[in-house]
Amino acid sequence: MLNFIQSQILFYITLGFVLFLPGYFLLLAVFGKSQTLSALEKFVFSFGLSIVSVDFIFFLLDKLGISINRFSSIAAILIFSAICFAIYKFRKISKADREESHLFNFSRNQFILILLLLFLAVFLKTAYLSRSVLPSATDMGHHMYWVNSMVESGKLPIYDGLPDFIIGEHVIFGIIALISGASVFSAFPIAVLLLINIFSILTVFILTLRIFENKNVAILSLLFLGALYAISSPQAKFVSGGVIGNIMGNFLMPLAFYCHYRAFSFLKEEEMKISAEAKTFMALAVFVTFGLFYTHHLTAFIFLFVFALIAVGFLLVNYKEVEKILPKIGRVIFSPQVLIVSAACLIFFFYIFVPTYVKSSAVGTAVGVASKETRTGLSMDNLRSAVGEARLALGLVGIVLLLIFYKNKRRNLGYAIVAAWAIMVFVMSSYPKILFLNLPSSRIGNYLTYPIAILSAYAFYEIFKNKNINDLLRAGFFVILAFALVGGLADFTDSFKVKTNANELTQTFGASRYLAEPG
Amino acid sequence: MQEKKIIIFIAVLFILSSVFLFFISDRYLNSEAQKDWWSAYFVNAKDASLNFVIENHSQNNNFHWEVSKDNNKLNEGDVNISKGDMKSIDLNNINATGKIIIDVSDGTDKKEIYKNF
Repeated sequence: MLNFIQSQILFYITLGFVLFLPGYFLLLAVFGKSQTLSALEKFVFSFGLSIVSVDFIFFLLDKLGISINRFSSIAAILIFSAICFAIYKFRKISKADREESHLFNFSRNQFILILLLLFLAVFLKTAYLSRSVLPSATDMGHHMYWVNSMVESGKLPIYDGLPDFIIGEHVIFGIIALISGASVFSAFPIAVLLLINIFSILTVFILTLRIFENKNVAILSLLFLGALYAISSPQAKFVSGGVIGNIMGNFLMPLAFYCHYRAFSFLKEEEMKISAEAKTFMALAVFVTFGLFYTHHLTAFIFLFVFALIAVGFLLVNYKEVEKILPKIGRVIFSPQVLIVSAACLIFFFYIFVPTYVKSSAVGTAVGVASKETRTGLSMDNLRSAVGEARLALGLVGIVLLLIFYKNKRRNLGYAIVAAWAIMVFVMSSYPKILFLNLPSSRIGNYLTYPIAILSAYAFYEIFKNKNINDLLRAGFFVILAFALVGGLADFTDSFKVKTNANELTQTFGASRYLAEPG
Repeated sequence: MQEKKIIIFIAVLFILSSVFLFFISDRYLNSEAQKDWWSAYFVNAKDASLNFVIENHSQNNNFHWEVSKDNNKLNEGDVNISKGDMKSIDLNNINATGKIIIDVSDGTDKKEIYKNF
C-alpha cells in the first residue's frame, strides 16, 4: 500500500512537472502577469504549450546526441523553464493591458452548473474506463511499444517505414514514464489520455466563450461535448483504445483555432487596431500548429483543409472590405515575433526532427480516388451514429442559425472558424470525392463531434434564450432536452452491457513478460 | 476566484479518477487479488532444459503432470501447490530429441507446453 501511495505521489508530481511547468513558464515569458488570458485559459495553455514545448526540447536533446534518461529529462525541462523565467524577468511586460475578467465571472447557478457538468463528464468516463483500464486495444499496444522502446533505449524512436507513427504521440508518455517510473502495463497511459481529453473539453469551453461571448453557450458546450456522449468515439472509447493521435489532435486543433481567433479578434472591432497581443497570439498559433503537425498527420491534414475554408470563407464574406482587412492580416503574419517562431519551427520540422510522414509517401496516399469502400464517404445514418442523433440534429440547426446570424457578425473570425470546422469535416467525411480524398471516412467523421457540440450548444441557446416563450416552445425545450439526454447517455448504459474479462488480459501480460525475460 | 475554484475542482476530480483507475489496474495485475487461475511454464524458455514451474492462483491444490514424446510417456508425477505458491519440477534426467510435450492438469483443466530439440 505504501508503494502504491509513493508511486501515485511521484506520478502526479511528474505530471505537473512535465505537463504544466514548461508551458506555465513559456506563458510567463510571453505574457508575463498580464490579464490577456484568464486563470482558466492560462491553465489550459500551460498544459497545451507544455506538450508542444516538451516535444521540441527532446527533439533538440536527441539531435545533440544526449541520452534521454531521468536525469537529462528533469534537467532539460528545468533549463527550459529557467530560460523562460529569465526572459520574463528581463522583459518588461505591462501587468494589465486590458480587463478581460468579466467574461469569466459566472453567476452562482452557472458556476454550480459548470462544476456539475465537469463532474458528470469525468465520472462517466472514469466509470467506463474502470472496466477497460488495462491496455487491450491494438493502437494502445503499438503506441506503448514505442514509448517503452524510448524508455529502454534512451533515444527517440525511429519509425523506419512506418509513417503512421508520429513522434509527438510518444514523447510526453516516454518522459512521464522515465521520470515517474510508471509502467505502460498500468493505468498510466489511460490516465494521461483522460487528462488530455478533459483539457480538450476545456479548450472548447474557452473557445466557445471567447467566440460567442456568451456564458450560457459555453456551458452548454460542456454539456454537449463533456457530459453527453462522454463514452462514444472520440471520447472515452478513444482514451481506452489508446487512439493517442486523435485524442491529442482534438486538443491541439481547437487550441490552434483559439490562438488564431485571438490573433485576429481585433478585426471585429470598428477601428481594427492591431495590438501587440494579436501578434503574440499568432506566434503561439504557429507554435501550437507545428505541435499538431508533430503529433498527428490526419488531424494536421484536416486542420489544413479547415484552415483553408476559414480563410476563403472569411474573405468572401468580407469581400467588400478585403482591401482594408488583408493588409491588417499581413501585418500580423509578417510581424517579427511570428516570423521568428515560424522560422524556428520550420528549421525543426525540416532539419532537426523530420516527421516520418513527411519522409514517406503518406501524404501522397491520402489524396486520390477512394481505394476502399470505407473511404467513399459516410451516409447520414453513419453520421448519426458517429456524432449522436440529438447532437447532429441540433448541430444542423446550429449551422443554419450561425450562417443566418453571421451577416451581423461578419468580421468575427470565430463564426467563420466554427462554421468552416463543421462544414469542412462534414464534406471530408461524407463527400470525400469532391476533395479528391482517399482516407477512411469514419475516422474523419469522428472529428465532427467537436464543432457539432459547439453548434448544438449555440442552437439550443438561440432557440430557447427568450424567457417569455410560449407553452409550445417550452414543451419543445423539454422534449429536445430529454431527446439529447437519452441519446447522450445511451452509450454509457450500452457500454455496461458488455462483460469484460480481465483474466485473459492479465494472463497475456504475464506471458509476454515471461517471454521478454532474458534467457 | 471562481476560476481558481474550477481549476482546483478539475485537478481534484482528475486525481481522484486517476487514483481509482490505478487502484483498479493494480488489482487486475495483482495475481492474488480475486483470481482463479494457474499456469505452467519452463524455468528457461530458451535453453535446453525441460525444468518447468507450476504457478497456482486457483482453489485447486493438486496437480498431475506428464512428460511425453510421440505419445510415449517419459515421466509423470503429482504435486501439491497451495494458492499463491509455485513449484519447480526438475526434469534434468530426461535427455531426448524431437518434440517433448509436458501436460499439466488440475483435474478439470489441462495445459500443455513443449520444446523442440
